[in-house]
Amino acid sequence: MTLLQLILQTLRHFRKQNLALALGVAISTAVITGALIVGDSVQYSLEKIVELRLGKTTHTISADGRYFTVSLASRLEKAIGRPVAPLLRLEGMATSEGGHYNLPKVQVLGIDESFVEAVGGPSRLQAIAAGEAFISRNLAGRMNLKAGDEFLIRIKKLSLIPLNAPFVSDAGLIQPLRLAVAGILEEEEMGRFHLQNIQTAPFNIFLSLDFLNAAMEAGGKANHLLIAASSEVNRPAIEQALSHSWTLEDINLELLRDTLQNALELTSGRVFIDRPIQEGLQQAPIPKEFLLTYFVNALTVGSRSTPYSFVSTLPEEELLPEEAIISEWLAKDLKAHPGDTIQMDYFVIGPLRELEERTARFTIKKIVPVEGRWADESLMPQLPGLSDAGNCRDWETGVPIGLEKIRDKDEAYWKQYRGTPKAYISYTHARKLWKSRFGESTIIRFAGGQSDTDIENTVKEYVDPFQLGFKVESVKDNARLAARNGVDFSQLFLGLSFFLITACILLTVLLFQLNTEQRSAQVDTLSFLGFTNRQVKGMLLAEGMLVVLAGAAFGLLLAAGYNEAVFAALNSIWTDIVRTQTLVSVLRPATFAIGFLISTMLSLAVIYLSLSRLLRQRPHTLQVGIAGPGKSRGSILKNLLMSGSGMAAALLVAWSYTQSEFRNAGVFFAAGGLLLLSLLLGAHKWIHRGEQASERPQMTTPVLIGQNIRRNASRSFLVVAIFALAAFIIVSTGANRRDFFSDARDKSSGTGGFLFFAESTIPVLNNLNTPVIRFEAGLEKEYTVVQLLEYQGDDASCLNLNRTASPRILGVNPKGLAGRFSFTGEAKDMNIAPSWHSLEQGWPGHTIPAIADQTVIQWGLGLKVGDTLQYVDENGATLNLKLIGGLANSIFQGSVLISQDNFLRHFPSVSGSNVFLIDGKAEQKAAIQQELQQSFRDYGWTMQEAAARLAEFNSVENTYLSIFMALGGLGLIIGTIGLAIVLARNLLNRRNELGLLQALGFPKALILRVIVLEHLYLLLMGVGIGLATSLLATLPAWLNPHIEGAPWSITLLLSLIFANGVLWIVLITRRFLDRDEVVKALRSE
Amino acid sequence: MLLTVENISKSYPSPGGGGREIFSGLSLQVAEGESVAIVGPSGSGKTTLLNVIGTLDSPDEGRVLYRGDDVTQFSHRQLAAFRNQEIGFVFQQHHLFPQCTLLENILLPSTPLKDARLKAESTRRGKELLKRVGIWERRHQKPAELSGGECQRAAVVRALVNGPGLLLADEPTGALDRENSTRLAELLFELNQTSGVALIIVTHDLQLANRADRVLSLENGQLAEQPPNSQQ
Repeated sequence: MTLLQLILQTLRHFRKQNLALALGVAISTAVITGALIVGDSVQYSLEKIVELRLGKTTHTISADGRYFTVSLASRLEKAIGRPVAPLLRLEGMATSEGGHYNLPKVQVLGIDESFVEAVGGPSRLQAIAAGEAFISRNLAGRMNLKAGDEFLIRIKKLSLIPLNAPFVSDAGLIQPLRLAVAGILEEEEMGRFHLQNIQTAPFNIFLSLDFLNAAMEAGGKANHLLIAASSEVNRPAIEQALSHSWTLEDINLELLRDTLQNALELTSGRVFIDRPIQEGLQQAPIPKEFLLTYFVNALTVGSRSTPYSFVSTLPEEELLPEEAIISEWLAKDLKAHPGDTIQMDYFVIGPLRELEERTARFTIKKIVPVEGRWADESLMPQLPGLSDAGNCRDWETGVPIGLEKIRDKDEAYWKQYRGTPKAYISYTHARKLWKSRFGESTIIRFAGGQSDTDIENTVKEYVDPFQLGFKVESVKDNARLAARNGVDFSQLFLGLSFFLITACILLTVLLFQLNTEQRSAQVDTLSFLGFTNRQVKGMLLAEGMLVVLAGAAFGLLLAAGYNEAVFAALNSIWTDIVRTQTLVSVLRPATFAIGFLISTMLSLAVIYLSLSRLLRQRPHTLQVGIAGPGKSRGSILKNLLMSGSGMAAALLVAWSYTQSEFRNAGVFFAAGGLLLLSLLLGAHKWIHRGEQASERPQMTTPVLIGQNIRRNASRSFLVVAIFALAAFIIVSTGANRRDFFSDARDKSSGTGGFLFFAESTIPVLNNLNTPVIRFEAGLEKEYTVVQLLEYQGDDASCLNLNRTASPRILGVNPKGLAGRFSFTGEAKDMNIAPSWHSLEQGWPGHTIPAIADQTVIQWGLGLKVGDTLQYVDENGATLNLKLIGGLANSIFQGSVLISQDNFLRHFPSVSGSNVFLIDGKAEQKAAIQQELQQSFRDYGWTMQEAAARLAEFNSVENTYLSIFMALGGLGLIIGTIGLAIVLARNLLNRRNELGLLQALGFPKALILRVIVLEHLYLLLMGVGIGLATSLLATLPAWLNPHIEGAPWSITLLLSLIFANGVLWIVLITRRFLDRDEVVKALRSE
Repeated sequence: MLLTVENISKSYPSPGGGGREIFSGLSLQVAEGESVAIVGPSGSGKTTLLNVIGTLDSPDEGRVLYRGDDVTQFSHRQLAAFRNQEIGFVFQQHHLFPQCTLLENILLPSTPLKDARLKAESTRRGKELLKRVGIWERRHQKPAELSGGECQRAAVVRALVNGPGLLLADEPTGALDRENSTRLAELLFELNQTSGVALIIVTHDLQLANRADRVLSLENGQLAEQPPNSQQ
C-alpha cells in the first residue's frame, strides 16, 4: 500500500464529491479561460479588420484638406521603388430609389488602376468606367442596390480654395453625381477600405479617379497617396522622397510671367498665399515683392462713391501707410484730386462668414492712367464666380452685392479692365487691414531676369511641404498598435465575471470543506496511526490537486463553449459594445495554458488555505466525549478588521458629507464595500460564536435555529457570503443604469440642455443664427444653433474598440456653451477650474487648452486631465492640446474640444461647420427637426435628439452592466447550487436527529418549518447585508436624477433571488422528509 | 518500566471562563507486557488520559516517559514516528477507511515507514495477525461488506501491525454486541499475553476490566487501584 495507491483509491471512493468539486473548478476555469479567449478573439478580430481595411497599404500621405496632383504618386513611386496609388477621398451622401433610401457619411473614393497594386482588391477595380461605381456590400444592403442599379451621391465640390476664404462663393458647393452600380465589393475585396482606426465598416463607393476629377472640374487632383512600403522603405525614407518629389502645383502654386510688370509672379490656387510659403520665401535672398489685392465695397470721396472695386498694394517705397494712388478712371468717377481724402469700405469676414464692414481713409497721393503697369488685371485674384464672370451682375462673391449700386459705367469698366485695381495702398498697411488666417498676400512678385526654374528651385529650397499640412503616416503600424492597445476584453470580461468567478471559488471552497469535513475521522485516524501533519496535508492536497487538474482540464473544453456563447451574444444582443459583425473567435494554446494555470493556481490556493485552516482547527473526533477548544486564533484580527472597516465606512460617509464631493460615487462605493466587509465579518462572528449561545434559560425555535446555523458555521457563512455578494452586485449595477431622457433639458446634463445634435457631411459655411442666412435658408422656427468646426480624427468614444491617439477635434465658441454641461475631472496641479471660458486662455508656444469627455480621457485615450494630446497642425507644427477638464458623460464623447479661435489659428483651411447643437422649445421639436432636415437635406444632414445620442453612448455602459448582471446571474445559479449542497449535506448529517424528532411525535410540517426557517435565515441575512451595503455604495446614483436607478427591476431581481433560494430550500427539505430517510436512519441506529 | 506517567495535570477552558480541571498530579506506571484497565464515571477524564499517554494530547504539567524517554519533549515529527511504531490505538468505532480493502486498511500504518525491512516485517505481521483473528479470507473485501465485529478485529490488527509496545483501547467493545464484544476482549488479552504488548484499556465494562492485570479507577482526577474483582 503506497500513498499514491491510497490517494487514487480515495479519489475513486469519493468520486461523487470529487466530481462536484471538479465541476466547480471547471466552471471557474471556463469563465477565466473564456474571458481570456474573448480578449484574444476581439484583439485578433481588430487586427484582422486592420488588414481588411488597409490591404497592402502601410503608409499614407495626406495634406490636411489640400489637394495635390495625381502625378505626385508616380514621381514618389519612382523615388521609393514601391507601389503608390493616388486617392481622392471625399465624404458624401447617397440616395437611391428616388430618395427612399438616404445614407449620409458615405466614403467616396476616386481611384485609378494603381490602387489594386498598392492596396489590393479585385482586378475589376483597375478599370472603373466613367459614371460607374463599385460599392461595398454594407452600402448595397442599406441602399437596396444591386449591380446595374442607379443611385445618386452628393459630395462637397472639390475646391482648392478654403471655402470660407474671403469672397469665395458658396454657390455650387454641392456636386451631385448619378452613378450606376458596376459591382458589389465584399470585405475581402477592399469593400471595407478605410483609413480611420475604427472597427465599424464604412460605406464605400469606388469611382474612377479621372471621372471624379472631371465631374469636379478639378483636373488631376488627389488628397491621399497610398503606399505599399517594405521594411527597407520606412516613414523617414518616404518623407525624404516626398521632399524631393513635389512640384509647385502640388502646393497649389502657379508661376506666371507678367509682361506688364516684367516679372515672374507666384499665385496660389487657394487665392491667398499660404503663410508658410510667404514666411519661407521671405528668407530667400532674391528680390521679391508681396502684393495683396482685396475686394472693397465702396471707394468714396465726399458724396461720390464707386461700388465694388479691387484695391491692390504697392511697396512701401512708393507709398506711405496713409497714402493711396488711384486710377484716372476712379478719379474721374469720384471727381477726386491729389490731396483729397478717399474712404474705403470693406468687409472683414468671420469664421462662419459673418460680415463686418470696416472703413479706412487715405490721402490721395497721385492719380495714374489705366495703362502700363497700372492696367494689370492679373492683380485680381482668381476667385471662381467673380474673376470669371462676364458681367458685374453675374458676380458670385460670397459677400452680399447690392446689384442696384452697379452702374453702367461699372459694367463698362469690368468689360474693359476686368478686375484691374482702381486704387493702391501700401502693402504694410493693407496687410494690417486685410490679412486673414488664410494668408496675407495674393501674389509674390519676383523681379525680371530670373528664369522659371530659378524661382521654382528657390521655392523648393525655402518652402517645406510638411509645413503645408503634408504628412506621412505609418497607417498600418498605427492601426495595429491601436488594435493591440484597444479595449482589453480579457480584463473586461474577467471584471464582468468577477461575481461568477467568486461564486465558483466559494463553491469550490464549500465543496472541498464538505469533502474534508466528511473525512475528518480519516484524518484523525491517519494522525493516530503515526502520519505526520505534513503527510496528511500532502495527501489531501494531492487528492485536491488531481481533482482540480481534472476539473480545470474539463473547464478548458467548457471555455471554448463559453467563448462561443459570449461571441454569439456580442454579435447579437451585446453588439452595442463592439459595433461590428466581424468578430471571430480564435483559440490559442497559450491562452488555454494561461487560463488553466490561473484557475488551477487559484483553486489550489483556496484549497490549500481551506485545508490549512481545517487541519489547524481539527479536534480529535475519534474518541467519545472530546471536543476541541473553540477559540479561533484569528478572531482578534477579524474583530479588528470588522470594527475597522465599519468605522472606515462611517468616516468616509461623514467626510464625504462635509465635502463638496458629497455625491462622489467612488467614495460611496468604497464605503459600501467596507460596510459589506464589516457586516460579513459580523455575520461570520455571529455564526461562529459557538458555545455561548447554548447557555440559554430555555429552548425556543429561534434558539434552535441559531444553534443549527452555528453547527456548521463555515458552510452557513459561505451561503450568507454568496447571497450577500449577489445582492450587492445586482443592486450596484442596477442602480447605475443611466437614464437618458428624464433630464434631457437640464443644461447641466450630458445633453447640455440642447434639443438636437446634428452633423452634416458637407459643411454649412454660414452662421445659422444670422437673420439673413436664416431667411435665405428658409429657417422660420425659433431656435438657436451652436455651430462647431470639425477637424477629422479617430472616434475616441466607447463605440471604438481601438485605442486612439488623435481623436476628432471640435472648435467651439465658448460663449455658446457657457453654463451648459458639467465638469467632473480637473487637474490638481493646473490651478484652473475647468469651464468653457477657460478654453480661451492664451498660452505660449503651441499649447492650447482642451476639454474632453472624462470617459474619453480615461478610457478612449488612456490619459488623465492635465495630460497633453499631440497633433500636427495645418502648418506642420506640433500642436499640444492640454486637457484642462473632463466633462461628465456627455454628447461630446469621442471628440476633443478647443476654442474656435484656437481651432482656426491652427486649422485655418477648415471652413464651415459640420457639427451643430440646436436649442429650441421642446413643443416645437418635431417642426424644428423637419425644417432643418428639409433645408439641409443635400448636406447629408443627420440629426438626432441630444438625449438619444447620449443614450447611444450610454447603451454601451448599460450593455456592460447587462453583461455584468447576466454573468452575475450565472454566479447566482452557482450560489444556489452551493445553498442546495449545504442544505442536502446538513440534512444528511442530521438524519438521526430528525428521525428522533419524528419518533418523538414532531409533525413533518413542524420539522419542515424549522429547517426552512434555518436556511431562510441565512438567505435573509445574505440578501439583507448585500442590499443594505449596496444601497450605501450606490447612494450617489440614487440621489442623481441623471441615473435611471431601475428600482423595480432591482426589486424584481432581489425577489427572484429570494424566491429561488426559498424554492430550493423547501423542495430539498420536503423531498428529504418524504423519502423517510430519517426514519430509516433511526432504525439503523 | 515501559510507561511512566509522572504528576500530570490537564484542564480545559470552560465556557464561563477559567478552566475545568480533568486531573491533577496524576501518576501511573505500566510494565512491559502488563495489562491495565481504567474505569471511572463518564467525564472523569479516562479518554483524556489515554490521549495524553498516546501523545494525541499533551499534559499541562508533568511528564510521560516511555522506556525512559520523555515523550512530552518530542517534536511533532518524533511524536508521529512514536505513535506509528510504539503505540497502537483501538477505539469504540473501527475507523477503517471505506475506500480500502481490509488488507490495505491493516497495512495503512506501514505506509509512513521508510525502512524497507520494517515495512516488510509489518506486512508479514499484518498478514499473520489477519489469519490469527480469523478474517484472512475477507482480506480483499471492503469494510462496508464486513460485520461490525470483523471490522473491530481488523482495527485491532491495524493497531498491532507495526509491533507497538503499548496498545491503547478506548471502549473497544462499546459498539459491539455481546458475542462480538466477548470475542474481541479475548482477542485483546490473548494478543497482550502472546505478543508481549502492554495494554491499557478504558472501559465501562467491569467484566472486561477485571480481565486486566490491574484495574485503576479514575475519579476526581486521581487514579486509585481497585482490588481484583472488587466491583463484580
